[in-house]
Amino acid sequence: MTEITILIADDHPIFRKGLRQIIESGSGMNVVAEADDGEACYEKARELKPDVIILDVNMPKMDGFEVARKLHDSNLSVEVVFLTMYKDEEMFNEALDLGARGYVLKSSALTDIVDCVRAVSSGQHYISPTLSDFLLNRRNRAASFVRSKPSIGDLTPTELRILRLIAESKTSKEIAAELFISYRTVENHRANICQKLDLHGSNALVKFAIEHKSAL
Amino acid sequence: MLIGRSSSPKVYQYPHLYRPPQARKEIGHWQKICRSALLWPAIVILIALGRAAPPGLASQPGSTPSQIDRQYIRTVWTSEEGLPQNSVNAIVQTRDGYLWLGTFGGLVRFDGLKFTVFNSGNTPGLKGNRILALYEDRAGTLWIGTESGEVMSLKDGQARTFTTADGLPGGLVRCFFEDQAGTLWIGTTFGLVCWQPGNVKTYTPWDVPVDNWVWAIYEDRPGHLLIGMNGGLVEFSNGRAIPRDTSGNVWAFLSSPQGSLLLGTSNGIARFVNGRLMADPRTKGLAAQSVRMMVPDRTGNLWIGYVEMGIISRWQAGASTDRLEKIDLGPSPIMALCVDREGNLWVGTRGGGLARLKERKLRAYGSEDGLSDSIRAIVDDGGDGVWAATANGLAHISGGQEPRITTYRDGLPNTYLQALYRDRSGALWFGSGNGFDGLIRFKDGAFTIYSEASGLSHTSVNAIVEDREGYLWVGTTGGLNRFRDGRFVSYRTAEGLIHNDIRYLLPAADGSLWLGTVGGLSHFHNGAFTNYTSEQGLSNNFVRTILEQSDGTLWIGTYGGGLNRFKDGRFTPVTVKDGLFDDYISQIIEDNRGRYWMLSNRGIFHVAASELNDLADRRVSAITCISYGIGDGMKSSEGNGGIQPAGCKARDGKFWFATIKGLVAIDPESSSALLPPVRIEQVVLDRQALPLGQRVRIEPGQESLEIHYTGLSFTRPEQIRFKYRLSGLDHDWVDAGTRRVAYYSHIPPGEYVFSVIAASSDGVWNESAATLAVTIVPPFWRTWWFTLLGASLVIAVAVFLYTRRISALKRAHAVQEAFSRQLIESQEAERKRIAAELHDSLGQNLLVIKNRAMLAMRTADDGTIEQLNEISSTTDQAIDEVSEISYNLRPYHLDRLGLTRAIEAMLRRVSESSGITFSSDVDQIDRLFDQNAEISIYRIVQESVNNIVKHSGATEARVTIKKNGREIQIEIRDNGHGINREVGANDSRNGGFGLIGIAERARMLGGRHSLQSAASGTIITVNIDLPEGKNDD
Repeated sequence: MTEITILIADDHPIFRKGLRQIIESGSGMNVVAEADDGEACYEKARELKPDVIILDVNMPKMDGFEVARKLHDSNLSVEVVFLTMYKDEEMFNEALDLGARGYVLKSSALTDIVDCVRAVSSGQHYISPTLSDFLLNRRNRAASFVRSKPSIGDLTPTELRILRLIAESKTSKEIAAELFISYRTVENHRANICQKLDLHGSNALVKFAIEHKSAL
Repeated sequence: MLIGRSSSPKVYQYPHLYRPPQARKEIGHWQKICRSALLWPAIVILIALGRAAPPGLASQPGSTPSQIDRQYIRTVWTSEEGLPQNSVNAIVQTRDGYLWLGTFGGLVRFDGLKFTVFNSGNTPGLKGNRILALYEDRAGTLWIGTESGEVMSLKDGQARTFTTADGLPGGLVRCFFEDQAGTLWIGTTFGLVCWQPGNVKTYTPWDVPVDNWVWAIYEDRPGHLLIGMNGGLVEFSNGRAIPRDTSGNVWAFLSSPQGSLLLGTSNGIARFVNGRLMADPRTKGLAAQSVRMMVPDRTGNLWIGYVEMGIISRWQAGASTDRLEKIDLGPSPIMALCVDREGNLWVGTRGGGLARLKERKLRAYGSEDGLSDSIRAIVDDGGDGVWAATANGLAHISGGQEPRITTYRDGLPNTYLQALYRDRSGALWFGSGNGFDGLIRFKDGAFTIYSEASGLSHTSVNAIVEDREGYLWVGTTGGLNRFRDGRFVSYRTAEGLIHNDIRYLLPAADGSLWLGTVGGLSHFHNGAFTNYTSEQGLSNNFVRTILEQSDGTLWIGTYGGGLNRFKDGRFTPVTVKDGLFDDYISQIIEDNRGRYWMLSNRGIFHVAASELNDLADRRVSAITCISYGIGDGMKSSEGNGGIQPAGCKARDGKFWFATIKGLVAIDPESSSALLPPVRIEQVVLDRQALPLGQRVRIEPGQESLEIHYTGLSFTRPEQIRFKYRLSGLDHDWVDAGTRRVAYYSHIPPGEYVFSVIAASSDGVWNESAATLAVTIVPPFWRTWWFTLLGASLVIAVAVFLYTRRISALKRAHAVQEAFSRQLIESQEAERKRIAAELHDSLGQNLLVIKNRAMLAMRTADDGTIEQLNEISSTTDQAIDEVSEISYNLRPYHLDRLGLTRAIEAMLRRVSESSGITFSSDVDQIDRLFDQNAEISIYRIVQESVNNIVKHSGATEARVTIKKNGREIQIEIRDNGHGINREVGANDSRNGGFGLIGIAERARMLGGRHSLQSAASGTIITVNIDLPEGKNDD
């Protein structure tokens, strides 16, 4: 069994040190790098390509969400685990929306973190148990979104993809560039989506997309 | 009531058969003389001699001073009274009303009180002072001729002198004449001068050049002059003189009202008829032959003056006969005669000054006319005369003739008479006052006596009247009597009469009888007496006379209490305190002009009835009485009363009054004084006289103004009253009384008009005023332009200060705004810092504690595990709290997730924690505003939501944020009970700002906010414009 390589990013040196200790006390895990700000984290991630990145939300220069976004866009195959104080549903949803597999509260980090890394490195999600409600809510909402009419389920995958990009506040031009399709095509897709979902106005479409981001 | 014995009265048909015992002897003497055979023929002869005058003319009686003084009041002015010199050679009254006198001491102007002298010393332009002639031409120029041959003119205050240098011949100037064509002719001792400036011609009709004395000039037809000269009459026309008559000197011309021309010549008065001189019959009766002056007056008299004599003659046209009287005015020769507009005769003498003969308003008859001093009663005789009851008989005066006294000789039973009455049948009733007889009736030459024996209550009869039913009422000292058909019915105090001594009886219009007694007023009506004394308000109980107004009001004259008005049962006294002339009133008579004439102890006076009533009604506070006394001709000013009547009105309109020294007759209609014209004579400013005729201009610094004015009436100048007013300063007329100067000082700047009016001595105001325009120049600091300047300066300063203040305020406001913004920003920065610190340091340390505890729990024993668990969970709590505090200070969502989601997260939290259902509809508003603006928007929503939670009592709320075009609109509505402004506005606990904070932040964001609050809920709306570059346009 190869060791799991881990990158830790947190701007608290003491906490980082403690965390490192705990992780390394467990077997099969190796902390290959530490970063104390977002930029350094991203750089190191690109450089070292660890398996798992454990990062805090609050970091100078670039916050954790921004790093996650960038990692996601860069197509690095790295699993993101947020280790944060925020026991907040919004933050939780945002983290997961950004592709993080793990969300661990710092207050229970010492006990949960090893299990989290292990689970995440094998493709599972790991959420701090105290936040299991959040996860349930998330699942329920996603389900209800599908059930509601007009429903996302009526959309084609391309349309879903476009909708996801819209939820990221991307303009039609940007979407066209990203998907390598024409501007005109994007506009057509938007129109179709609006028609299917019975939405009127570009604002409504954006709003819808954002609201249902977690289901996309 | 006593009914007297009705023995028939004694009637005496043949008066000469009856003689009272005392008088018998006297009559006897006379009888002897009368029967003397010599007497009557002697009388006839004397009469015949006396009537030697030509038919038609009464003999010219010598003028005794008493006769002249009877009709005229004579006043003399000499240098003592202000004349510059005692010779008055010429007199003329100019159209403006002034009287001008030519003296040897200069020209004198007279206004009745004051002489103003114009001579070479004080008047530039007047070179000569020895003035002989005066004349006013049609243009109003006064021409002055002197002894040394100068001719001077005076007009509008400008004087000029013309001498031989101007063409005058140089002889004494005797007269002036302006012909119809307007040419001025001058008569001098060197001939006739035709005065055309630049073309002066002198004509000398007689060949002897020296003796061409021209005395008078007359134009009998246009272009044809008659010249009166030494030596005769000359006709003059077209430059040619033709002598007409040389029989004597011709001194004067007068065109008579009958149309003929009269000449005053050295042969008396002549008439010029058909070119010939004819003697006028009046010449025979003249005092002298050399008639120098002839002047008519207004009443048809002709005044004649002679050469070098102090005597003048008056020729009076009478109804039946003409009278020519001579009047001796003293030793000084009379040089000039002039009748003024009011009818006064002015006489200029040489050395004796100026004299005025003023007709007496009153005609007095007294002891010199045979009357006794004390007149007891007067009654009109039905003709133009009166009967008077005197102490020595019954007097009859009529027709301007001498009074005739009826005495014992004529059969009069008693000569001590009092009370008079003439009844409807024309019979004359009178009473006797010496204790004998009583009531006497005189009709058709017969006297009938009614005495106590006949039923009369008392012999002393004081009042007799007849009522409308024909009863004769007789008031005596011992009661009231009613008499008819020989029967008397008497009333005394026993019957209710207030007092037996009755002095006045007045039958009222309603048929009742008013009695004035010594003890009060009594009213006899329907057989009963109603009495009034001082207890009912009568000012004095001795009632002497009563007058009834047409409305039934009575005026009661008392002895010592003045007048009383009796109206509506109330007495109102009028006494000297109210302006009544005297408090002792003996008779009241009303004239045709609504005036009451009253006889008092101090003279006769009159006052308007309306004024009396106004005083009694308190509409005025005083009355004005015009009075006549000794100065007007009364022998004594003390009226005699207590007997009815003390005065009466004769048929010719004259009023007759009884005095203690005879009778006076006065014509109430004759207002001898004209309305006096007023002239402003002099203006003195700060003691310097100003030239007249200009607007008075007072500069700043000049203070005191005196305006001297006069009223031109010569009849009673000292009684002329004045009122003046300076328009703009005096809001009403100032009553100056008889003062003839107005004083003003420190008049405020402006334009004014001074007016003054005068009232004649009769009290009638001449409403046409003399005016003077007065301008007070304001000191520069009071002129309009200065004030305007000052005002605009003040305004400018005010505006300047105001705008400065406004901009200061604006700046302060801006500073305050900036400060607020700074404050808020620093607050937010502070909060952010604290939040971060809490989170980063405190929060982290707590985490360490928790984690260490948990770590320790792995290797601890049971007892310790529990403790450690405790530590762990407490720390968890602490971490949560720190997180919460931090979030409240600075929502991390805002920094991490964007504004839109931060707001939505906040709403979700609030919804869960408060129990109020919050719904939201929030457009995407991320990255539209800068950080500071975003936190402000967040706070706006946060505060509104907090307010709803804390104060609204709502169950549902909705937050809507819409992005439209150029702005975002935030709307927060709830279904609560509405805002109580005070509570919500000042909620600054928990770090919130309340409504003020919302308004403040909205404003700082450049947005608008509005609040709608009702009992059904509240809506807060905030509109914020998108920054440039972020709007959808």
